Amino acid sequence: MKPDAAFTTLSDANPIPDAASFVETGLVSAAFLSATKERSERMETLERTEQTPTPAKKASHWQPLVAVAAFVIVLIIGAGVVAVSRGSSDAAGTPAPPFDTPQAAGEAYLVSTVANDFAAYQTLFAAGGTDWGVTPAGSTETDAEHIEARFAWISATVDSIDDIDCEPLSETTVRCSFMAVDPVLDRISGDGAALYRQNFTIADDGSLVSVSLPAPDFSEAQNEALQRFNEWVPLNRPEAIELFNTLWGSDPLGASGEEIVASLFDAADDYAALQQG
Amino acid sequence: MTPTADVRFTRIYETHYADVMAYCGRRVNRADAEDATNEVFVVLWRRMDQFDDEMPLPWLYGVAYRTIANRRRGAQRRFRLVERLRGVRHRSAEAAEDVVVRRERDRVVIDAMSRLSPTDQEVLRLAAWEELSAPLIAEVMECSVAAAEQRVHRAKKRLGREIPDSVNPIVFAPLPIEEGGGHV
Repeated sequence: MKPDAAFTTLSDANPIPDAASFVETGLVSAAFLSATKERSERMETLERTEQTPTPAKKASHWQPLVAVAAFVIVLIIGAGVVAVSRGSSDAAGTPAPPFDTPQAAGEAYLVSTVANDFAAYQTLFAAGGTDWGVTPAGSTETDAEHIEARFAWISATVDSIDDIDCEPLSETTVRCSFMAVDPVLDRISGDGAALYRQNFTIADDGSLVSVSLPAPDFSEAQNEALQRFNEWVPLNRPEAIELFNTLWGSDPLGASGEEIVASLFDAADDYAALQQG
Repeated sequence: MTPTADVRFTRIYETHYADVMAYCGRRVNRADAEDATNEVFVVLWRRMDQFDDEMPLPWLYGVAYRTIANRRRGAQRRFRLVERLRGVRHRSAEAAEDVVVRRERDRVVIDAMSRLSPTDQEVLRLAAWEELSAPLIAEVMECSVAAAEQRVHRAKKRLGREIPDSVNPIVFAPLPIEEGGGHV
């Protein structure tokens, strides 16, 4: 196609031609300013915290590692997003929609994942609702088998979540931060705890319509460890990556979710043993 | 921060929140767009002395561009713009047949975009969707105006090469839509 025609076609494909129409709720600027100040201060506090020396207990087993690769970052993020507290999910089960608030929906999401309750997890979502762009309760481009296997992976890779703190972004969306302990990250870096942030949005019927990718705040040491692991895995355990990549729906599932989880844990264990040696 | 900073921030927020939100929404899903937009304004608050009050939008777009890029680098890369387009289009009031045609046409062009480099994609989006001129694209991308002009020109050519000549730029033959969602 001629360049100008291609450009015109792209212009016409603008998913949000009217910016104003995309903003659902009119946030009051004074309130937003206040929230922004608070968040800015929190970020500064976090930055100061990260600059403090890591306790010797955490750092002693591990050399600072270098380099980053998408594979493990993805893997660890996947691990971190899940898990609220296993105790609460075991005791009370997974809450079900309708949820009065997006925070309640987000907490139920985390509880279902920690509990490895795939059936409950699926019921949390509205028709067409998405979790990281995947539709758990319906089907678009990812089939149920892949979704369940991915869910198994996520559920297996979180030990605990603490310090959940949510702030509303609108009437239907909440942004939650929490500390999660990821056993894979723990194997790789010697410190599996990290702060994550994630958004949850509910629909009019009180079910989840969107769950964002979790955003981790890894320490420098954790990032370096992940980068190093990312370099190591393709050279030493390529089959683990191949299996892991099939979780996401672009290829046929390479194995059961449990088997894929096991292969990645094995890789992390081998890597940890090498580091300790 | 002085009270003046509060006033400046509020004015910029009220004027440009929707623009930044739309910028992000064209690149990531709604929840992430909201999160990224909030991050942009936190950065704004922390760097109130680093931008031009008279022309803050390119600066805000630049922050948003890097914010989203950072999030993508730290996350899995399976955010498909096609998926986001699909979600937005569902809300339109277009007739069903028009939606099918539009979606298919969008799919073709977005698929073509996905085969371009990230820089090509971004300059094309800035030009086509944010409707920025070359000088403003240069501000966002932190390059010279001449470089921005060249990038847009070359990216248009590359986009054109990625879309088969057999494809009609006005009306594409729609592919069958799978029940329950669609195809990618």
